[in-house]
Amino acid sequence: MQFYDYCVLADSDLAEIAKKGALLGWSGLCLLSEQAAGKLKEKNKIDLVPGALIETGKPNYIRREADRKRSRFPIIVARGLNEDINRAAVETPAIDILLPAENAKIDYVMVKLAKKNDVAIGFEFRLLLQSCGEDRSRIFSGLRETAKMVKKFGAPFVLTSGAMSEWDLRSPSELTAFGRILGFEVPQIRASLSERMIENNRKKLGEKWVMPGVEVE
Amino acid sequence: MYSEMKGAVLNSILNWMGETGFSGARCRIIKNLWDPKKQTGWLGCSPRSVDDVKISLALIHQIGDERVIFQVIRVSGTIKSGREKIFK
Repeated sequence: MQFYDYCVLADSDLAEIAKKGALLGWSGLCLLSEQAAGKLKEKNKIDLVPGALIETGKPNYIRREADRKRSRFPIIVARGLNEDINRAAVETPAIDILLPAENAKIDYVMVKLAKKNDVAIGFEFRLLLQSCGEDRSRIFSGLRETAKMVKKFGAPFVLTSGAMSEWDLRSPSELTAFGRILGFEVPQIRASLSERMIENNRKKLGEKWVMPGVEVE
Repeated sequence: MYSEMKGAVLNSILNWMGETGFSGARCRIIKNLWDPKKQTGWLGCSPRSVDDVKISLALIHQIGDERVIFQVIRVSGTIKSGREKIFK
């Protein structure tokens, strides 16, 4: 099975990120920074995928930006800075992953919409890594609450390191433990870390794809 | 280096699991199996606490002035079977 970390925000040294990713057991990393996307032509040890990160305070902007970037990037991620952004992101089928900020709550209506529009809710390990004490316990409690709803309604989800540098990367084994702590089952976690999303999106970006269920031979 | 590593690991487990959890996890780092060259070692804990211990290790990002990444290579019931799994 291949494992992909879908939200890596690091853009420092791509060769170093690829080396560390390979060492940790990743088959591929999705790099969300714009600087990284331009440098991805070099051959690396693992599959480095360019992704688009939409980070805005305006909910109306999300759909427009997602439609604009859809044809260029296999993975589109929206950063949910507040509840309105979260809501707009889960209502947009062009978005692949929603990364809610630590203080932007997700409610069950959003989780149901995420399931309907196939928008995966992202759980970032970085939020725990970069906090401590009371903050960490508050963030973890929020993550568990969201995970409980995601599990209950069967919405898609993604476990990611959310690494800002190569030192924030964590292995698939650690993210599996993170998922188990949040209350998910191992098969669900493996599916969330698998290559399924990237393969589906690459297929959609290919010339043979017409619409769901229809492909040109 | 061993003492710094041990301190960081035990502190992180204590921070994440709390004193009650830490006592229930029965964590111990096996000193004579620490390989300073390869930077690998063995950590024992109760089977119920494996995920919490993994998270605690993953939460360590710095020891002293150096940035670090902890990676769990294998989880096994005994040291013997762990060695067999690693070197297979």
